[in-house]
Amino acid sequence: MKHSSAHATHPYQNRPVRAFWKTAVAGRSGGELVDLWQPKSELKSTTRIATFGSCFARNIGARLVARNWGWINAEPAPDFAPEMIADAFGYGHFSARTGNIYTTAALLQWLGWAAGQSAPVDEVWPYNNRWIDPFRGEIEPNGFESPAILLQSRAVTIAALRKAIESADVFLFTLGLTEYWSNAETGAVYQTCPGTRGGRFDATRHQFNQARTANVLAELDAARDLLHHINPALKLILTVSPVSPSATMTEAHILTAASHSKSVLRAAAGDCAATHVDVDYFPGYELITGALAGEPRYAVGQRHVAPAAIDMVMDHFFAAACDDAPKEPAAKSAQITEDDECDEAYYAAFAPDAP
Amino acid sequence: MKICLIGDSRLGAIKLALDERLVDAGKHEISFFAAVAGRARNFKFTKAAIRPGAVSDVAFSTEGKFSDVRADAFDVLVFYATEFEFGRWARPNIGSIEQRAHFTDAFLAQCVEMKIANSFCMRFAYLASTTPGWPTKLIVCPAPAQAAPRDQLDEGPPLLDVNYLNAEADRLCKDIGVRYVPQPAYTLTPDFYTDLSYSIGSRRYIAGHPTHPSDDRNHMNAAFGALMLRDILAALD
Repeated sequence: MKHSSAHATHPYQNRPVRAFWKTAVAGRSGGELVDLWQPKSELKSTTRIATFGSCFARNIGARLVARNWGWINAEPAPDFAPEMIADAFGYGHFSARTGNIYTTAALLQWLGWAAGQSAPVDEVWPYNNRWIDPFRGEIEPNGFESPAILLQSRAVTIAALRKAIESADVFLFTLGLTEYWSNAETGAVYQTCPGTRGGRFDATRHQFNQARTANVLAELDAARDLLHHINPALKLILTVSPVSPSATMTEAHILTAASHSKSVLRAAAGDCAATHVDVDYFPGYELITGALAGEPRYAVGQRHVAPAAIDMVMDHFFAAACDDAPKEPAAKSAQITEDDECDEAYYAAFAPDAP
Repeated sequence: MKICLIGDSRLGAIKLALDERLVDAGKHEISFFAAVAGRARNFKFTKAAIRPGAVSDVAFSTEGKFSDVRADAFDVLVFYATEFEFGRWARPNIGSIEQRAHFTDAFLAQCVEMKIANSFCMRFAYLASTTPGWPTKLIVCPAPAQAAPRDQLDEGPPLLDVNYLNAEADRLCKDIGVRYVPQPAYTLTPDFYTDLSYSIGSRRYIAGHPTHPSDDRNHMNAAFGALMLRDILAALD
């Protein structure tokens, strides 16, 4: 029903098309949405972007490369490395070989190391007569041959992380999880639970954490401070991974736990962006999880996102560019990040048989 | 025995060594089938022959007598240098020696194995060794390491020991029933360059045999070709 504009004196009267579900979303697929995101800061194909975060962020870096955007790779594989081997050893996934950084607590820990404000603990986890890095478990597929080599490699990555921050215009971080494990004695935040892949679980030392919205927001603010300590001009873009956690330690059903986790992350990211002019939120999460028409956006298993849907998400990102950046990829889209490439998916191996 | 050497322009060193009688092939009859730079990738392996992607891909073949390598035409096939280049990727082209810390031994080992296994030489040697009707005597040779004057050696030592590289290549060749003939160790400098004396005066295998540009470090001269051919022939004994 149309209302006469003569009687419309309320604030909604002059809202743009994008402000109304009926005109902006109803009946539309993600690819058909228009005017979805207006970056706070100018975004160009020459903008130097560093990407980190949960496994969904791997898709972002790959697509920036495919479109010849200025993706920063501060820890590249050597020229002689075959692509398949480099990929298996975690090169080219993120702007440094940090592996997946699922939580804001872990991000803060990495940034503290990069800023030189704290030193990583010397903890390493035994694994099949080799050694796993508790903070980037998948980086060396079969584990490191000695703790010394592991720590040396980690130091290289920390230096590369700092270099990525120093050389970036934009730090794009994808928030993934709220549940995580830490060491009660040292405070170290682990990438995955000790014992699931390497290490030995010790209930007296290993502590489960469930970040609340206030925690995530505080950690984002602290992370922003550390980033600006290294690079005062840096802008942040936050996204939330639409990939659900593979398991929960809460008493909730995993579906409920996943919804809670993503809601917390989404709310904190939104709050952080609303607070700071140099922090933006890119709505990739909504494009995948929103009530939109069109093809299914998840791959089999309903955790990971279908490649076509990732392309659709990134089309919106690239559409926001203010220059003549190529709108189509120069190379074939990268493959989907599969479950077995996601450290956190190790939890799924411990699931009991379904009833 | 009838021997065919298959490769790229770097085969010119061996052909010139033969032409200039720097090496005696004895009772063997030696032929060449070389591709223009990079176009060995276009070679096709069929049950009956190795064929170029186009006639223009062939840089030179013995007296222009054949335009492909037929399965039954030779007793021995030598796959020489093509996409089998230790010299290119074992150099510390990533920078200084400190950067060796970036890569674990496991990473480097897997890079080595995949690079060797996926090289043109190894792929074609494998196809020949597993396809009925092809010669059973098959040899793979690496490309000579890059040559560089001493005053340009500022990159530090190689990432990997050349003995390790040769051992890996030998192992992978044995896995497919192929003989591996390495670059002679005495032609290499300690930091894994080919001694410059084996590069100076290298010549192209075209009319008049003009010398390569003075900064060419990838092609070796006829003296080097003679050494390689001696080792290849010795491997047949």
